[in-house]
Amino acid sequence: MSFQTPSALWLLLGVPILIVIWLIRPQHENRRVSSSYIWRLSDRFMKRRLPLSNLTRWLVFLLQFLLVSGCAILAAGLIMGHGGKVDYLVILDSSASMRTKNEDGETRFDRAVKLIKDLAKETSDGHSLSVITAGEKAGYTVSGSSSRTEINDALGGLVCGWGGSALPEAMTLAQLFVYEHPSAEVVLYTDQTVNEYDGLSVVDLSAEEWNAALTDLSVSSSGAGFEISARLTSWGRDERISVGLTVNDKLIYAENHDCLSGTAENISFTIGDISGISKIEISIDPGDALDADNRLVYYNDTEQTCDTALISDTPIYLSSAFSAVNRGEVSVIPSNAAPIALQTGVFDLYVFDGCAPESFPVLGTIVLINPPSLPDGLSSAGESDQPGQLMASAAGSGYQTKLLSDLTLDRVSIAKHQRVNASDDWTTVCSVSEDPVLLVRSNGIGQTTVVLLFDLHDSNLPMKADFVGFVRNLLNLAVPPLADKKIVTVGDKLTVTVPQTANHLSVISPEGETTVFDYESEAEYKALSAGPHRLICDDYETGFFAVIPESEGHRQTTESLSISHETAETGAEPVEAVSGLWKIIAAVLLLILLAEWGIYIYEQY
Amino acid sequence: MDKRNLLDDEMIALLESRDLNIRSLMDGMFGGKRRSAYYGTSMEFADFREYAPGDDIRRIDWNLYGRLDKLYLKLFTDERRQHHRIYIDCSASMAWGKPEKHLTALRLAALIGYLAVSGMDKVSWYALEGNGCLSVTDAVSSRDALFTGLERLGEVQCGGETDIEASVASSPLPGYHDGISFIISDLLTDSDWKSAVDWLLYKKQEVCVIQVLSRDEMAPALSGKLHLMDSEAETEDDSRNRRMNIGRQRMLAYAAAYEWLENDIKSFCNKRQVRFFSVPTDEKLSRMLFDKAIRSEMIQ
Repeated sequence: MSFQTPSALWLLLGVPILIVIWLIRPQHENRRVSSSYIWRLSDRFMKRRLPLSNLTRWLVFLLQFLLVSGCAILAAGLIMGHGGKVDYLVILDSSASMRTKNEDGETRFDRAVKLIKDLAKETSDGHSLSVITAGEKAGYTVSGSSSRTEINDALGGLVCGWGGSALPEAMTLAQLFVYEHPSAEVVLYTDQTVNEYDGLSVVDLSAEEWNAALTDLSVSSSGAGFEISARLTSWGRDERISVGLTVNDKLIYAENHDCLSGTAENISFTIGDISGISKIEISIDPGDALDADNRLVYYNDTEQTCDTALISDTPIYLSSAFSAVNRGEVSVIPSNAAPIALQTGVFDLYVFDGCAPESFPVLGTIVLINPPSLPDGLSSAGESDQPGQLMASAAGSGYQTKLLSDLTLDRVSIAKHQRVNASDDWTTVCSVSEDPVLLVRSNGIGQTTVVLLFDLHDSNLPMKADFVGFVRNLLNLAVPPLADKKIVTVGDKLTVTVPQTANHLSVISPEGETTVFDYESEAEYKALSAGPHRLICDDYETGFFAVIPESEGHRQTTESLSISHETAETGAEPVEAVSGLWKIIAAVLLLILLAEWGIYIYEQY
Repeated sequence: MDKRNLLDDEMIALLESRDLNIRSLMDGMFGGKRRSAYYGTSMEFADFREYAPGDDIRRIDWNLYGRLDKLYLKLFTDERRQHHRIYIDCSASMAWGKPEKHLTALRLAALIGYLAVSGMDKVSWYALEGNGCLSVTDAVSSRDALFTGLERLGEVQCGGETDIEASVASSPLPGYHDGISFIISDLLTDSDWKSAVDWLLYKKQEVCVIQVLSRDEMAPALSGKLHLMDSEAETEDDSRNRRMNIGRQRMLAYAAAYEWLENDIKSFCNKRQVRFFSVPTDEKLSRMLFDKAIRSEMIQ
């Protein structure tokens, strides 16, 4: 039994006030009469008219008492927990930590599902059950069902998530549910510690199990080679934990670490050269309660080759730079041989230096350097002989990030450049004296066109170290990495890029679920399960690893959770609710007066 | 209290032609003019009986002897003096009313006493107080003694509580088959006055009950939340006191109770051939006399 507005129970103070009023109210006036004999005799005749006349005084009090109590309880909004139909609302935490197993090998999630199934047995008594799962997202799994079979089927198909717990979202959903069903009983099944909770009951599924977790994998180059580091934390107890290093699925090293409970231990391995290594894995096998954080995998994917067609009559700067980058074959084609050469070959990158094709290739990234004729969307506004510094455009864009990555653009000067008016579909990456000189456009099918509006010979850019970096960025633009991250937390998104020349890109999750990306230059992929994910692009395969959120490795604490069982209106407009309360109080007082007056008048007339 | 207040000349003039009505033949004492159950020397023929040796031969009916050839004595009724007793309730409740019920009761007692003396009977007044029965005067049989007695009667005060049954039973000379016993009271009492009547009837007395009520008692004008305190109650906690919300319903109930009480008294009295009438205190004594007393055959 509970109340929607417990504060209204203050109205019950009216009961002692009523008693005080009855005690101090004016007593009967003494009146001496010759004999009370006939008056006493009249009692018998009063009884004929009002059988309960002797009790009238107490009936009035009882009526007033009931009025006060009833109004207080009505105003408070009594919610009977039993006897009537109960709408049970279950919030099931399905975060990764719920995969923690007990000694019997049963996960917290499985235990929660069992408890909910037990609760579902009550639906045969006319109660209804709704289940909100709080995984990466919060949503209804069962909505107001009174069918035990339906509930059991839905619960049987539930799988615990790998990410965090969207408990706030679940609480919002629960609150909306309670607004519609003020008498609902809300139960939260979680392994979090909830310090304070109001309006719901919390079932703690944690049994203080022990867990060891690997986190923060990083691979970085050092003087001695490549250093692979991670952090190892034992949650719940001090433990000696063996850590193994596996390279290309072969265990090559193992060492023990004494971990203090709750203290992160740094782990590092050094490998002389990681070339030829496609997969590095750090793992522990401590027999702890949660397996999901016992392994970290790093995919050391080699860069994809980029076939380049360099159409130039003076390719010395460019060919040197492409050679320095050394990423695929570079075909240097004189401008007069270009029409024939381009018909027979397919390239990932076309660089037109001082020339422009009559018709652009359909596939591949196109770079136009000081083109004699401008592509669509650009119209010539003459030339500028005014020297100037090459400056990154003020407006940041994705192209700017990609093309100017790792570039300093320090003292890069341009002697002269073409001036153009660009349409809106062109993005200015660099400019000289506020004239755009490096522009990028992507067409509807993902083909990217880069235009440099100056001759490399009129610039000191080829003399700068940035030039090689710029070429590398051009190559990365033409053939980008398949994924922008190698380690991702479950629930986070990573960007996958389908090369324009590739047929498709597939992402295969640890559960074997395949996601195929077609005709998209860039797309977002959200990792929903922990473990190694395969990335397959035509014949090329690499991967990335998804880890569970670090916080899921140990017991989390939530300070307070509350569900208001007041109606939506009272919750939204407390001022009006208080005003309504005073109206009720006034009504009660009026009823008390009317009740007594009514009986008094009935007696008098 | 002046005797004239109890019995004024106008009333005496009205009473001159009236007499108490005694229904049955009583025993009585010698010297009166009431017919008795005994044969005597009055002028009123009563019966014949056969002569027996020793009888007074002057009372032989010779005419009857001539026709029947047997000696018969001619008997005449005896006329005797009756002794009437008037019991006056002197409880505190009798002190209420405008005028007081007590005064009305005393005036009625004086009226009856005058009629008794006028009829050559004796009369005694008794004040019923507590459980006792106090004689106001010695039995009065002459007019001079009557007025002296009325003075004493006027001095009777009321107060306290009266148990009519016990008081009447404690009467020193209740009489036996001798006159009429009058009970003058408001009869608003928890005591069993009916037993007192039965006791007097057992004594073969004729009984006449006169109820004296004030208008306030017949139709009270009270309303509101009142703690009704009985005048005979000594403390507030007395069980006779009542807290009441007096309204229309209560007044209807009072009227019904009053009607029931009157009918109960009448019924009781009719069953025992006890004369009864009820008088309000604000009614004129002459009206009491001619309207109530004569109609109830108390006087003729």
